[in-house]
Amino acid sequence: MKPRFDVNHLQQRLEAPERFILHYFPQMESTNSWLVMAARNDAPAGTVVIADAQTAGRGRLGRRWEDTPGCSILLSLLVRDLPSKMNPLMLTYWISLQMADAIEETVPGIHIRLKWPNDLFLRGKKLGGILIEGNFTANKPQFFVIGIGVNVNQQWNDFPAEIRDRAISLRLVTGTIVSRESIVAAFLNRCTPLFEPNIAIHPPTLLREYKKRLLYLGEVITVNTGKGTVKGRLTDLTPEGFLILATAEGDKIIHSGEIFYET
Amino acid sequence: MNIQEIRQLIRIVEKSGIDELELEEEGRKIRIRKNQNNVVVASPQNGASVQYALPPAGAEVPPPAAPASAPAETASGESAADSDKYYEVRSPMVGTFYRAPAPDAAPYVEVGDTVSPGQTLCIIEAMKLMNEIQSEVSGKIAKILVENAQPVEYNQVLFLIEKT
Repeated sequence: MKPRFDVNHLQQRLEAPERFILHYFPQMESTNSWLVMAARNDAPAGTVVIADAQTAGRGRLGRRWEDTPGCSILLSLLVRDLPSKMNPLMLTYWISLQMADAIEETVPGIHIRLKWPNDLFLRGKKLGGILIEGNFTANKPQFFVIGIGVNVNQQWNDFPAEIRDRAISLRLVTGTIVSRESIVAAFLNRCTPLFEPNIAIHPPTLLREYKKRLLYLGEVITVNTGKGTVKGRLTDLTPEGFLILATAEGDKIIHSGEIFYET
Repeated sequence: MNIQEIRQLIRIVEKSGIDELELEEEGRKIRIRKNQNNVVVASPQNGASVQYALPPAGAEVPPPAAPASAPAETASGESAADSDKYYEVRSPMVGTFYRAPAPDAAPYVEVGDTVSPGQTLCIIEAMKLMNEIQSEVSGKIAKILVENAQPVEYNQVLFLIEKT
């Protein structure tokens, strides 16, 4: 029996607890789905939902996110008005960087890398992922639900056999149980500027920080765009954060897709 | 030249190294000039000008506050009539258009469906940011202008909703 997520412990570690409204469920379908519904019913910015298990966790386009009860961080955070200089696409990068920093702060000595656009990687394997669901009416963003899954205390046999060679947890690297509460506290503490309208966000600096952690930069990759695959060298990101692939037919810009790395 | 084309020109100027673009077409002259912080669209013919605040580098171009005041709008009487009858749902960002929440799920809406404000019409995805686009109006879906899983541009019209 894995210990439950300790919400009180998290609450005590928050530097600005008044910013957040914490909800915990031992098991739920999906933290993101729950929070999207709550947001539609006027839940305030800063609402956080944490679960120990998801029965219908979602990845991109309805793909399942594998999780073992009590091992992962499964969290969603509601944001309404973005800081003035933060656009929705930059939010993806900003959140990825905050989570990478929060994990490294809690587990010293590891280096988190990011697979475009928003997977967390450790030692070449997937440690976690981020899925942001925005809601627009008449071209205006109404809210964003930021969903995060991180493998923390899984052992090898906690992962389904088919993903065992591609997934990793923090415990598999440290050899010890890692406090999920500490990582979530470090992450939420880093997120408090999101609720300040005049936070200094400088998109070029943000992109530079993101690129420092970006996997496959300069390497030849294949991207499945949903309509087919594009193969090329990942040379850079556009100012908007889209991928630039140098292909045989010239540079191609990719704004959504899945990277497959071929050696 | 319609408002859509002017918007495209603004984006081209904004992303380019040039400071000013002037062009004349069928007696109508348009000048787009990059200020330090603004792009100015000026139509010297009638002196009207519309200012579009430029977002920081890398940001999405926000929808202009009052595009209807742009002089070019009157150039197309047909689009004015259409806009009375139809409400245009546009994409808030560059991305991929999805008509359903998952590949094996039913589309959010079909042509002929009646929709109400707040109802989800589609998803625009970019960089794993999944954006639900909701209807602002009540009406009937008259046209779906983009195929599922196709790329869309910023401000591209996705649906025409016949107002009720």
